Amino acid sequence: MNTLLFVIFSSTISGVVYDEETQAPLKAHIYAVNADLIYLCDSLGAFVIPNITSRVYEIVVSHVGFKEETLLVTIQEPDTAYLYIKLQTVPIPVEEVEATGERIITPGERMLQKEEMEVMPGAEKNVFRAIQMIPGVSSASDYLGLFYVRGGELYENKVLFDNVEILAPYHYFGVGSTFNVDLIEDFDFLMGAIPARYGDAVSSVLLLHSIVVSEEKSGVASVDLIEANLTYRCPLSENLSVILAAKRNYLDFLLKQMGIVEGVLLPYFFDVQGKISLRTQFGNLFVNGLHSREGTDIQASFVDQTVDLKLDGKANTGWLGWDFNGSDRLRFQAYAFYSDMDRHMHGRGPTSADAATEDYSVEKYGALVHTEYRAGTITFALGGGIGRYGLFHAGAKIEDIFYKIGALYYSLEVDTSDDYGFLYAVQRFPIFKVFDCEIGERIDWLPAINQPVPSPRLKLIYRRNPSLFFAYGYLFQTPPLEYPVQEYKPLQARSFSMGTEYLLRPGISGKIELYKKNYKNLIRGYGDNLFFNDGDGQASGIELSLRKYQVGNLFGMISYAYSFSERTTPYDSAVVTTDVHRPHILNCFLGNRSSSGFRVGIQLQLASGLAYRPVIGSEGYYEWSPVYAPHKERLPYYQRFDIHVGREFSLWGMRGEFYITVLNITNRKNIQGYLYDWGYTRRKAIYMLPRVPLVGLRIEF
Amino acid sequence: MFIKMESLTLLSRRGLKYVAIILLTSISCLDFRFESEYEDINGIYLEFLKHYQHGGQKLLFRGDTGYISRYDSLLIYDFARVDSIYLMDIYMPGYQIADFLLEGDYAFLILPVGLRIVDIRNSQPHIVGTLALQYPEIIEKFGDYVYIAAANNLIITDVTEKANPILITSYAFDNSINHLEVDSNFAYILSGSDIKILSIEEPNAPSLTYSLSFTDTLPQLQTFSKKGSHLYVSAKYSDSVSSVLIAYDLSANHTLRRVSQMTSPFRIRYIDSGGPYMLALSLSFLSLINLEYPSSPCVGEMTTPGGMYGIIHGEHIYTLDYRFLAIFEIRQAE
Repeated sequence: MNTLLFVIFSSTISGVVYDEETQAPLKAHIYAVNADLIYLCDSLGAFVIPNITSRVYEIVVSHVGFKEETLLVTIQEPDTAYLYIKLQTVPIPVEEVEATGERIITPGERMLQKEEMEVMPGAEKNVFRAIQMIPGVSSASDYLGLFYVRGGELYENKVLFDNVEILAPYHYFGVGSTFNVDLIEDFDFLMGAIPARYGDAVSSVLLLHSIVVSEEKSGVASVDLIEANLTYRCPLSENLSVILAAKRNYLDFLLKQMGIVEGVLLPYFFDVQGKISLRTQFGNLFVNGLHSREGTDIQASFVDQTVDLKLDGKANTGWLGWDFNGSDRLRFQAYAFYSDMDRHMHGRGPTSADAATEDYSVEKYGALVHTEYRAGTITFALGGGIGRYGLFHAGAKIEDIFYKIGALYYSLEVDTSDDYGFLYAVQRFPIFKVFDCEIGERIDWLPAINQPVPSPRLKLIYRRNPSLFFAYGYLFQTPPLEYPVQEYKPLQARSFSMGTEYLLRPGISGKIELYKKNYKNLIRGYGDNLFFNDGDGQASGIELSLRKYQVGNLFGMISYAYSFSERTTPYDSAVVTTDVHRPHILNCFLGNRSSSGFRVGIQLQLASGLAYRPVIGSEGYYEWSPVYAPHKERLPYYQRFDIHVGREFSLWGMRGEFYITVLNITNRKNIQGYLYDWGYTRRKAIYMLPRVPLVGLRIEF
Repeated sequence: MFIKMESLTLLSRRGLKYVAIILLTSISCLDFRFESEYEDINGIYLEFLKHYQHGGQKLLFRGDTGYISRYDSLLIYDFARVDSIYLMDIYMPGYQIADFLLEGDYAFLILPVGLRIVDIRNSQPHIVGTLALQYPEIIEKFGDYVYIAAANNLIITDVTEKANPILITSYAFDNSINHLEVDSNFAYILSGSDIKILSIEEPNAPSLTYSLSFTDTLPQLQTFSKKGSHLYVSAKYSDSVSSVLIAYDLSANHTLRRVSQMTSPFRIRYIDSGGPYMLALSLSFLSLINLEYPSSPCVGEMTTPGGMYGIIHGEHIYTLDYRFLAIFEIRQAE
């Protein structure tokens, strides 16, 4: 029996239980002897015993495989005491068994868990920042959470939340995301062998999974320098529960209330998301909704030039879902969804003489079903969906004016609507007990495409340690319809990847993956509103990573990716390296959770600079126009070192964390691009983020 | 829930500690620079040094000595100090000097009566050799031959013996020759609204290898200059005051393949591409054309005033018109 004397003021006892040897949190049982009640630690090993009235309180802490501990807590005055309880392992004698475990390996798939994102500097509020740390993913700017995968373009990625596509996942061209990060449990990022279930994307599919409903009321409130978030889970009955989440940036509101800003609409964004779940004997029914708004009306000076931006945007996504597990063998899912996005922008960039206007509306609705049946070691999946997709676009693509720090001289006018549909079938089966094979076939009827497009996919995995994997398949996607072409053809990517993964020791694995992609039917542009749907490209590379999963207190990943990519784009009809392609990317992320309540995350990224076409001079008569070099060059290499330090605490029965994040600690002047003077004889570098401190507070109740 | 004063003290101490950490972190992070200073994109800029009231038609150098043709005189200046040049000597051939060139110790003068070769080694230039011609206007030299444009004829003369220049042959064009350049194997001629390429591998038997005609619907040609395997043609659209500089590639069997066109802010009347930069002049403006990518010429630097003639010598640009000599320095940007 251990006796602990606390000469403190306590009316609540809370704490955390962890493995003395590995420092891993334990879901231990806490028996409050005085109250004759048992409390269960959560997944982080934390517990709370409220309403302590006795001066001496006895608690017994136990967990299978560990030595039981009995503690006496002496209390003098009402307050909260926080305990750190270590348990020692006790070997459990068992009969010898032969383990034939099944390792699930998916080529080109990466996942991150919630706690990893919570300590990843810059990703605390934006899941897309976490994506940028994955090998094979390139980003264009520190300011934007946009991501480019294995030589692909931004519009070639698809974002799904609980299996439904979100048309507008970003705010302000990627500065923020529409998702409340506290609503996300984890995500899967599919880059290589995208299963046949997912289509209409040739680069990647991001699957975000929401948190599960809880059996008791709980919530998370967080605030940092930019935005405030609130997530609340509440069971309404034994089978009915609701999750609500909202977030908004608040500086505009605050400054206006304080009278500092008047008559100007500072940039704001607002998201609200909700989920109602009903458990029935026929499966789980749920209703989800996501509503986003953003807007601004400002004129500001930016690097000694005037920038105008007027923006009004909103997006809605709502879906009904049914998830039925008939038995261990059968699973059935069905969704009906509606999604739309409207955005009106009027802007003038730093180098644009004239203002440009853009109206952009997208609407998509439909229904889809998915069935899985497992017969022994063989799994069959069938699914399909139908719906309608509509797009309206008028004006220039204003985001390019700001993003590319340049001006556009053409207007994209389109108003189209078309049906779509798809069917897929997948079979997974073992071969000789050591191989897993997955064969999939998908047929898409894409909007604006006159004929169905089949996309076969094959995966072969050798299930041993080290494992080997191989994947091959065709991916198709609706081309960006805002670019007018004579006849639309589906974007096509033929993808091949292979690699190996080796479990070095429990929780640590190394992975090498090689890939090659050939693109066809890409959009290529000549400027002056002349586009074609017959461009091509290729991408290949190798990705090496070493990952320590969250077993114990230390977790993280080190990765290096080398890639080669050339393709046509709407801005370049020739096959050239894209501006956002970085041949070398080294990422390092380490997170640590200490027993003293500190959570630390450090992140280092070293990468090749972005490609750009330098201005070599000018021409013109009434006004100067830039003359570009025929070949692209590279900006200086990119380097950023970030750190996140958080301190957990308990207060009034609630757990919280206060954190400080410093982005770009070394204050590296990473160059985003160049701005030129009026005569194009001089230029100045525009930098990405300087050293930026962020503070935040997060409370779980 | 009940909080005692002692709890508040503990909380406030902790709170102050965190506030201090935040403040220190924030202060240490205050370096919000989003842009750099301006830098020159081609590493150079032009600075006007001085102008002299020593006008003329053409200026050539022989070391620090400059020779300016002005009507019927060849003015010889000391350019050792560009901020204080002075006249050393004058050679008056007795006729108006239409054109001239220097090579070694000799000046080759084009006069209304023909070619005159003058020894300029010492302070009293004297005639070495002459060749009678009718109204020659332009002279170029390569090797032992000089190429003289006289009306619509190209006259090839052997000047191996300076005292005895020998007319080898003459080639006639349909129109008068407005501009002429030569290299080892070819002569490039602007004749009327055509650009002609003449093979001069055998000087006594030149042959036309290529001709590019510009009709009334295409730009009017002003002048041209050859640099490397590219020919740069200045032209002006008849319905516009602007000018264009068209780049042609000569690499395919010495035929002209158009590769790009640059709109010029002024009417380019004169081009000199003898130095590291290409100098383009109008009456009012001077510009250095960037030929880092020969197929994509563009304006690198531009300044005023311009002139009728210009030359780059060392780190200086000299421009001439009938009234003034202006001097600019090409400076390295910091």
